[in-house]
Amino acid sequence: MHEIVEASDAFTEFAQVAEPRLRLALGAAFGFDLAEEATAEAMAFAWEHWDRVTAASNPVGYVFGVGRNTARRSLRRHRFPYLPPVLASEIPWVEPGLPRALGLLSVRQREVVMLLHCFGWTLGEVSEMLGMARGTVQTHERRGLARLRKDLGVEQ
Amino acid sequence: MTDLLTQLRDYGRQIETDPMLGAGSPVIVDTETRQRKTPGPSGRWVWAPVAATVILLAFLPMLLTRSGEEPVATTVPTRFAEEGWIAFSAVATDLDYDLYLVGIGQTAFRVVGDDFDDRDQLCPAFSPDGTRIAYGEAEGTIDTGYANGALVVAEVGVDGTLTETFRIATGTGSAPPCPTWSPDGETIAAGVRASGNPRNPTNQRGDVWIVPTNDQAPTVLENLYVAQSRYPSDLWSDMEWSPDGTELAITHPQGITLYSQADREVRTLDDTELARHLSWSPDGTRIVFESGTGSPADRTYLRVAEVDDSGVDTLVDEYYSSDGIGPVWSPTGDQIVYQRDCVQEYGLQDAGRCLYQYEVLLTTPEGDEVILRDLQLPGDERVWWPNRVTWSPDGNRLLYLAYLGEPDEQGRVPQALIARPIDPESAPVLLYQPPTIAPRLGDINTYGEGFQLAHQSWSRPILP
Repeated sequence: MHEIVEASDAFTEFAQVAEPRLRLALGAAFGFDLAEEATAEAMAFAWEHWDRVTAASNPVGYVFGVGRNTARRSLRRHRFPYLPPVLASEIPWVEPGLPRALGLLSVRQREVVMLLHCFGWTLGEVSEMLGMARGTVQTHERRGLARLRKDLGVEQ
Repeated sequence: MTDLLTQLRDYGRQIETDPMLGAGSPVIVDTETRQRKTPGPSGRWVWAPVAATVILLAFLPMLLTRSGEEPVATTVPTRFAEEGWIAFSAVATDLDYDLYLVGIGQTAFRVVGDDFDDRDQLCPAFSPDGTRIAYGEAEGTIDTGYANGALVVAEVGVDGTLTETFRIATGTGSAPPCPTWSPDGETIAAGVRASGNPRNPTNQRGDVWIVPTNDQAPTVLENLYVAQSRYPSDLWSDMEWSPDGTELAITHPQGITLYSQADREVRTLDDTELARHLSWSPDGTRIVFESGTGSPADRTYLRVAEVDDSGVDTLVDEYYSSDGIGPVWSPTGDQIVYQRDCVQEYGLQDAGRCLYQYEVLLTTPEGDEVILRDLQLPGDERVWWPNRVTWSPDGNRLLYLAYLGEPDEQGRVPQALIARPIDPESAPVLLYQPPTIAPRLGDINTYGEGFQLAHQSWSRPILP
């Protein structure tokens, strides 16, 4: 009994930190309509396989992989990820075409660009979540931003 | 104009503060009903990174394809497939699946369906001698739901022309059935779904039809069919005749079911619960199958069952299956091909066993494995990920339905039919690529899983 209680506590602690980050990362990758379900599935998996999660060298990255696979399969019938439209009444200086331009990026580019620049994550945080070397993150960032600038017709 | 980074930051804030999106209610894991699991059963073959590295190094020279080789020309005027016809379903220029044929070095051509028929033709399967083809057909699409399904058989001419010989209606509300031939070519089996509507819960259950080609009077095994997917275009290997034609093996959540042609009885193989895909050994003594729940969160086991029920061995422990139609035993009997999704692997302690994101592996029946290097066409650095992989009739090639690992500039995913020689000194051959990419909007995602191409069947050559 004592062991189960300990595991539950550890899981709760993990979930409190990981869950909101997973939701944002999965939303950036696959659209925010799928993110909640994928996050829920990933967290349920983490609970069921807590031993594996704790044994992983990168627990949050491991659980993100579970969520990514769940979302990827759910995405079969969708062409583009759902990214919410810009609320022009609140942020009129944001291009209405920004969500679509983000949707046209590769999954990797979109994950990196959104986590770094929309949600303000550090390079290390993105690297850890996506299981990607920092240099690779920067490459995706550079290419993603270049393509966004081109698609949106902005120079800066 | 506001600079891009500021726009991104403010757009992100909008998402994060949206109660329905970024800051939605926390996920609740029901720890009362979701049980924590102990690690899965361990089999004889437990992978270790060192072992994988050793095997890879041993076979690396064989896996290297010759660089700089020109692709085989795809425009040869004659219509004689020296190495046999390859049939496949494709959404090419219209909005539904039609049937196509292609031979090595030739141009693919459509043999059934047209741009305006509003019918899907799926699951082409050549008879063992290559002279006939069976396929499933139904009105509608996977998006709208199906009606008036039929099992169709046609003769295949030397030049690839098809002449329909018979069709059997499988029900007003049914989807295209996916047929499989008995080795003597006298009987066809197919799963017939209870509903043609992919969103109907009864869609994945139904009957198994056994249809003799002489009198076409079906024997219906009621409630024995459990489809692996809601969509017929996602055909997986859910039933197959034994090499001697005496038994039909059918996957079922309760275990592999064997239907005897002689006494019309069924039996279930022990310890084969959750079998999802299967393939007979050419000598008919064993069945290789993938075992698992099918949930993306659960790992899969590759197992081999003795048909005499004397035991089940685990060939590969705990991996994530990747699309595909499950394991396929080579016609020569010495290798089994299967697919592995390694995207989930990186966080595991045993991640070292993976080399690529989506892998095709050849394993011997004893469990000695080789990971095939990522598939690339000559002179092209782009990587084609495997969607479904099967064998050529002679066992010398693998036939890939594949898709590019990264979308193109428009976010679309090119797909292709590619023949890959087992001999690493021979170059892969591009057989077909749809002229337009993903015209069916609801059907293709950025990972190419919408199956613009579906199902492949490679026949033995028909001599003129």
